[in-house]
Amino acid sequence: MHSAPGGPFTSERKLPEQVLANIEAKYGLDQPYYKQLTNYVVGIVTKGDFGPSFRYKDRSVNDVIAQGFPVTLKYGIWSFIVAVSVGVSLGIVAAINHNSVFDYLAVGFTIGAQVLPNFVMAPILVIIFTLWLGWLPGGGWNGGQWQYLIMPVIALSTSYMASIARIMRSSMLEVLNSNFIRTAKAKGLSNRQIIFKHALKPALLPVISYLGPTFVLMITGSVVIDIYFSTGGIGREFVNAALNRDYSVIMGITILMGILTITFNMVVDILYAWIDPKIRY
Amino acid sequence: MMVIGSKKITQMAQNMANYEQGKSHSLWVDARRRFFKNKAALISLIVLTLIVIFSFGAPYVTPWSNEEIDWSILGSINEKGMPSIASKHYFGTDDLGRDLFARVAQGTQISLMVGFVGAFIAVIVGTLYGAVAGYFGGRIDSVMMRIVDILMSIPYMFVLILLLVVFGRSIIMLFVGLGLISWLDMSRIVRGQTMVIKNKEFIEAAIAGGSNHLTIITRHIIPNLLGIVIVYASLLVPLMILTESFISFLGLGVQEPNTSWGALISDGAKTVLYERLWQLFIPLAFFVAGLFSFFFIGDGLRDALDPKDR
Amino acid sequence: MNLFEVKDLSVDFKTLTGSVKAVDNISFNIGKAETVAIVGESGSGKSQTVLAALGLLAENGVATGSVKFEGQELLGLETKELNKIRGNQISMVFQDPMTSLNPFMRISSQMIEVLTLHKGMSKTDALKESIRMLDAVRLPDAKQVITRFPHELSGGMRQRVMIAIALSTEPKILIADEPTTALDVTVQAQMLELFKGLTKDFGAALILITHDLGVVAGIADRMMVMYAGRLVEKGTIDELFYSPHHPYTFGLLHSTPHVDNPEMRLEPIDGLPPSLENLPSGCAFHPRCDFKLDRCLIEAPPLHKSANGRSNACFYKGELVKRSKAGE
Repeated sequence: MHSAPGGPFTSERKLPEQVLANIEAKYGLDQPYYKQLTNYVVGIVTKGDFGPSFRYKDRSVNDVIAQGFPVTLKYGIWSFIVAVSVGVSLGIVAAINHNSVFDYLAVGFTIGAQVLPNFVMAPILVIIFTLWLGWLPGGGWNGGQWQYLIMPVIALSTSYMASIARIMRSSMLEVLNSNFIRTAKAKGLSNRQIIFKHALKPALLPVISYLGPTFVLMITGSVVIDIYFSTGGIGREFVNAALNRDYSVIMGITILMGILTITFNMVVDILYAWIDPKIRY
Repeated sequence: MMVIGSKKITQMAQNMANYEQGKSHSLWVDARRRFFKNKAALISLIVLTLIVIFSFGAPYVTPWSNEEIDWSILGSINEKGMPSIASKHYFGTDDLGRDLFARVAQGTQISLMVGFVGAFIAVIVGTLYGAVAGYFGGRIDSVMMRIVDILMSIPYMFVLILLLVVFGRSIIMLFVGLGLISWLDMSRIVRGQTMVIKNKEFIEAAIAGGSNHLTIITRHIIPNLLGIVIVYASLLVPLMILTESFISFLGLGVQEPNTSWGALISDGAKTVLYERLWQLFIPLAFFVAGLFSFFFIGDGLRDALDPKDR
Repeated sequence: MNLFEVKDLSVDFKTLTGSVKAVDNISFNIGKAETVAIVGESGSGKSQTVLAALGLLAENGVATGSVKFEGQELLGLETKELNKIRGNQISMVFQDPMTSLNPFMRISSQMIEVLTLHKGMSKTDALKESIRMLDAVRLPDAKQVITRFPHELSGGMRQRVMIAIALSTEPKILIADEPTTALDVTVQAQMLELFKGLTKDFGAALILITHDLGVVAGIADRMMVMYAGRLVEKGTIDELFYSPHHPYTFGLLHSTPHVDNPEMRLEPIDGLPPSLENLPSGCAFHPRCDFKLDRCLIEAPPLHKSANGRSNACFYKGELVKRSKAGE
């Protein structure tokens, strides 16, 4: 990052040498690079301290994260729940009613949603719910009341919901054609028992391995949500920091996302091993 | 934004690897016949051709350029900036009074270019990397693939944003960034297929004939990967366009006065509350039509080249 | 009233290019505690016949005709009613024990579910009964095995589990679809022994589907031979083995090794089984038949009953003798 031209304190007005040196001393930028790095890492590991923001004098990186992260987490978790639960149910119902009208509609939806990423969904939702129907506020957060939550969640979850539904449908169809489902039918089990006791677990496996990437993509998508709906989450801070060259904030958020991603992938792996008896650690 | 149906691709890779080598000529002839039988793919090809013709032909049709501001309508865009033939703003104007017809044409060019160049970089890097890993196997392979695993778990959009910020926002940087984050899947697929191909007799024959590793990879392995690479590339193009649009939506992508589908949608989205819906829906229509076309063409190519069904 | 009556059963599969007839108008009966073998090459429709009876055809399959179990019509029966019969009165053991057990469930839950469903047992009783059944199929260490997952068992063990599940509800009919094909030769023999003993112990009728005449000889009372979806000959084992009337049965017998007569030369039937999409005219067997007559090319011979209760579908009425080929 240091190789980049310019720095957080380069601006239109040339600062006097002495002032610049003082400021750099305060943030430790006058020390050698390796010293800066060790100080930074030690701060994170020992105190959970990501250091001060280079841009806001009175806010540390921790403040920035503490303010934005709960917001992102709230609509992120909701979007994730909606995408997974609706996507999985849609996929199952479509697979059970293979080649029915519902199945065709579901497939149509999953294809259509490919070209409806969050930044396309967001304005369309605003046109429908704010401009035409006047039901929902066009943006803001207001402590995360449900009116403010709905559009961010729909915008963020739609395309992933569609992907999950598509994966779920095809894996369920594959499982339903497998030999052990034929055995289950020959045993005289009801359709409900066959689907939920025999077919669901194996059919879920491909969906579960897709959850890792989905999670990462949703975090990324939060940037759009924060900007378009002014929800005040961490995505907005990230883009602002990027535009302002606020390195400590950028680093802080990137590290946080990295930790989240790794943790989540581990959860997914454990879930996978729990479902598939062939994997044992 | 999305994950290409990697299972189908992997299956296709297996089918192709197992396909008899001697029939490769008829494979391509056959594939072309099958592709042209696929109605969705064929219509998509036509739509895409029309979009391309539009993007290059538009400057000859409209008197406006993509940066020129029509001062006569400024301040009353809601009334006079509407799409109209009389004012020669066929698609209306944007918020600043610039002609949307010219801007959409220019944005289309940029988006298509980003899609193709990004996919091209990803394909080159991914193919070489995957072919090398798969061909040498063993420890080299496991180290190279672990690196891919690690890179895959990084939220790449953040990395791309970082790249753009650190090295400045330029279209070259955008190409490099897009290409560099998209080759990972490609390398995995190529590696898998290379491992199958390298055990075939004709590779043994080449080794026995004294060819060196480089020759074997470039002359024997890569040509046999062509089908899968083409299909994957065709599906990568829309993904690249999507990613670029995302970046441009954030204001980090293509810089003014140049524009792209994503930047146009972003501009349109900001004015939605002023009832200037054409500013959103016209670029959106191109975006949707373009992406659908690419997806269906990619799908058509996959079905056509997959030797499974014959 | 027969236990199991099949009348004019046909099975068609709808495909993109049209419809394929997998089973063509076949009829047969099975009595109580009888062991009947259905023999034929792959694609002869022998599996589809029983799958159709239990409503287990693939999505694009349609069965017409009539299949009656204890007088009750099974074809077109609602799934809910059918579920009271299949797995309970009629059980089935499938060809491939590797994929026919659910790899995601323990053996115990796969066994218990049939008993709680059909016999209304509590879970503890069902578990006890399941362990008893595993003992009955001579699976060593049943208490241990029942807690495992299918991938932890060998092929033979899995097939024993399948049989235990099928017999645990004390069905009146056990259908075994190629039960030994996927197993080692040594295990095959044990398995046949087991089938023979168990069906006798439980008083169940056994429908054995196989392409292997060696399997049939040891265990079946009667047998039916199918070719390209049609029944070409049926009768008792002795009748068919010692004096086959249909050239196809004759050919099959001469392509199977005989323990009684090890010096006999094995003569495979020339050619391949026909594709169902593109059946030969007339009798489907005529291109491979050594005894064909001119009319065999034009019309298909109907299955007609002879005086002693046997049936066969062939125009040729002469004696079947192996004809030596030119050059031998």
